[in-house]
This record gives sequence, structure tokens and C-alpha cells, in this order.
Amino acid sequence: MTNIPRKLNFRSLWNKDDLKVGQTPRSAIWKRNKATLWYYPAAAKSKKHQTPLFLVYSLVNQAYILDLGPGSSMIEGFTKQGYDVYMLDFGSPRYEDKHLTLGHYVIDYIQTGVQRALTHSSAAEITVIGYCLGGTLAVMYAALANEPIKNLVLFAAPIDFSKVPYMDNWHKALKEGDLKVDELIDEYGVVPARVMELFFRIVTGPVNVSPYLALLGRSDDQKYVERWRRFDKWVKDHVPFAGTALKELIHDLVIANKLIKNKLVIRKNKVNLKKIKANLFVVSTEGDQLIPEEMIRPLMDKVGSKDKTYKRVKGGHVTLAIKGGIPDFLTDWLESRT
Amino acid sequence: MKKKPLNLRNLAVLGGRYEKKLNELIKDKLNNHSVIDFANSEMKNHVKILRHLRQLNEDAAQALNLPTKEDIANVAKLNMQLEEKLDKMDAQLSKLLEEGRTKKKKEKKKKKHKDSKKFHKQKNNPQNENNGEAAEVETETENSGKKKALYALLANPLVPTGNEQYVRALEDILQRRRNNRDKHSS
Repeated sequence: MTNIPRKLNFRSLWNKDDLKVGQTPRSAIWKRNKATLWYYPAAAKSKKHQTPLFLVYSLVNQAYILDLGPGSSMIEGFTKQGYDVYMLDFGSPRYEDKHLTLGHYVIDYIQTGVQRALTHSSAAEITVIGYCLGGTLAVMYAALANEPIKNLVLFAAPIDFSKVPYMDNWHKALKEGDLKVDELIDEYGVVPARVMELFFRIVTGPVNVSPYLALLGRSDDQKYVERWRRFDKWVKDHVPFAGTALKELIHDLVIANKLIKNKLVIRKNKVNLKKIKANLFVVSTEGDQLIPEEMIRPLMDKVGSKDKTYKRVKGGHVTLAIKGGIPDFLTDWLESRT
Repeated sequence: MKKKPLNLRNLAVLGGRYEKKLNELIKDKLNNHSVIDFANSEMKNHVKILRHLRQLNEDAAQALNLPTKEDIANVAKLNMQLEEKLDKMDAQLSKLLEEGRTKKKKEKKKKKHKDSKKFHKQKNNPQNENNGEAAEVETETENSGKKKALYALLANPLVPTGNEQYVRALEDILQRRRNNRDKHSS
């Protein structure tokens, strides 16, 4: 333990306040309620691709994880490779948004956002990329879309809830009606960010000391400390969840598992996964404790896409998003399809 | 056996290993029916307390003549509805503009196509060119027909520049322009 005092000079870094996130140049091209559609133009020196990317992030965390900082930003990676990127940030719902349903998110936000992106880019087609719960919403949208979606890329998106491999007794209790959460959700209206954080801490790991030990181990590495702090900020920066949408998710997806069974209905339209004809690329990570393979892989057999690829890679739930740049396998896949 | 010195990186690895075990233990203990029952009953109590607090808050707000959370949310909803309407109008406007642009482009393309078709037709059959042209000019409506004839003649390199028809059409268009200008200025 002799090197501890030498390494503790990171305290000055620790106390630095100017912790900026989301530094890739962008402009807002559309806003609705709390949602914003950000446009990140392709880097000037790069070869420009014809098909822009439309990113949909989760409803649980802040979307800036996709643009955490220079060198650890997926969006920066896309723009450097010549893609025009559009990112839909749902924002933080407040009490007045308690009535928001999955229909609002899929139709009013995602579909309108895609239409806006298509108009703005004058592109003939678009690539939709969904992360985590944003991926689930992207799947629902892709099954209902009239817009020309060329590619659909999913990262750690929960689709099949038939067997949740953690806290299985809680899942069973929910299914059998022994655990009732509706009243609590109704009373809150919008589930507070702290409650969401607590839930995810319990599911992924109630004791969380290893990141701090890793930080201590590399405290003399300025870049690492900065990246760690940005990531830590994001981990603690949960957003509230609109009550009605959460109840729909619990009842329609977690309990009845309607999405994978093609029984989900959004605004009177049946979500039929067979209607997804876009080229499909599904990525799951080996160390993902939140969305294991069983929850996403079954989608491969349900879609109508002819061109579909499933890739399992090393890493955790958000490793690919913060690694910096785009992984080679994604570059190759997109390159030949845009 | 020589013991490995404990540095910070080793500590991180060791900590990670124990953390994993500890988390598994906690999750295992939590994944229990008695915990679920306890959580269920506590949730009910929590709901009762929340409801009571909300009621108190609403009563107090009413007595003090202050807006409640619900009142403010309703105002915000009205604002959202307004924003939605504006957004829809904006989308409609963009759509109309886009349609207009596409229509113009299509017309331009159509015209270009027609001109090039005519040019190739005339090139292949130069004998019929003047007769065909004259017949077309007569069947066209007054203004646009003459303009079209003029453009077609201008585009056609096989037509001699001193062609009477060309001069007549040109004069006609110039006269119409003059008339229009006079009308506007008066």
C-alpha cells in the first residue's frame, strides 16, 4: 500500500467543477414538450454517408452517455466516420407528464422525430439505432413505421420478458398479482429518479465499491479520472419515469410479454414484429447484468428482416457507448448498408 | 512462497471479487417471498402516507388560496397542447413547402425530358420538324403554348435563326410583357 499517498494527488482533479458532458457540436432541430431532437453534423473532413443515423436512448437515464466526452463518445465516433447523426433526447418528465404513454413515446416522439430528421437531411432512408429501453421503443416503432427505415441497430434492448434471469421471485409475484405497484405509481404520478436509481442498484449490484477501488488504482491517470467522474455523474443522473408509461411497460411487457408475442397494441395498431423489414443488427454484451442475452436474442426469429445479424461482444451494459468511437464490427456492418 | 505485495490495482481486483460475492448474497436474500410480502405491505403503507400528505397539501393550498401541484400541471398541459398544435402546423407547412418544391422539380424534369425527346425526334427526322412544330404551336393554349414553342425553337439547333415563326412568338411574348408592366405601373 506504499503508493497510496503518491497517488492521492488526484484530489485536485476530483474537486474540479467544470465537468462537461456532450461536447460534440450539435444543434436542436425540433422540440416537443421535454424532448429534443439533436443534430450532430458529420465531421467536415470525413466521407459523408447518404443514410443518416437516428439514435433513440432509454427513458431511464440521461442520453448524454452517448456523448460523454471527447474520446469517450459514440456520437463523436459516428460523426468522424461521416454520418449525420440525429439523437432523440426524451428529457426529464415532470408531474404534468404523468399521462404519457408508450404511444406518446413511439408515435409522437420517435415517429415525428424520424420524419423531422428525414426532412432535415433530405435523405431517402434512415438508420434507427436504439439503446436499452430506447431499443425496445425503436422495435415498436419499426414495426409500425411508414417511414423508410433502412437499418435497425439495437444495443442491449429488452424484448422478451418470458424469463427474467434475476430476482425471478419478484417477477413471478408481479405476474401472479402478489406484488402490486400500480397504486404506488399512480400516487407518485411520475416515479422519482431516486426510486428508479434504487431499483437499478438492487438489480445490478447493491454494493458498488469496485469502481471506487479502480479509481484509486489509476488515480494518477488524469484522463481516466475525468472519464470516471463523467461516468459516475451519469450513473447517478437518473430521470423520473412517467407513471402511465411505466404501468404499460410492467403490464404489457414484463407481465404479459406482449411485444415478443405480437400482441402489443399501440394507438389501436398491433405491433407485429414480422413487419420489421429493415436490415437488423442486434448487439448484446457478455457482462450485461441488466439485459442478458435471453431478453434480446429471441427477437432474431420474430422479425421479417432478410438481412439480420446477431453479435455478442465483451463488455457491460454501456461499455460500447463510452469506449470512444464505434466498434469495428459496427463500422463494417453500417459501411456496407449505408 | 513469496507473498505478492498488495498494491492498489490488486486491491481493486480483490475488492471486485468480494463485491460480486456480496451482491449475489444480497440479491439471493432479497429474492425471497417473505421479502416480497414485506415490500408489498410497506408499499401499501407508503401509499397511504403519500395520499394523506397530498390531501393535507391540497387542503392547505385551498385555505391559503394557493395553486396545488395538480393546478400547475393542468396549466402546463394546456401549454403542451398549444405546443403540439403549433408543431402540427409547422409540420403541415413544411410538408406543403416540400410538396411545392417536389412539384416544381417534377415539372422541370418533365419539361427537360419533353424538350430532349423533341430534340432527338427532330434530329432523327429533320424533314418533318417545321411542320410538326407549327402544328403543335397552334394547338397549345395562347401564352404557354407560344412560350413553349419559343423555347423549343431556341433549343433546336436545326431551326434557322431567321425563322418567321420564332420572330412572331418572340414579339408576342415581349408585347404581353410590356402590357403587363404597363398595367402594373398604372
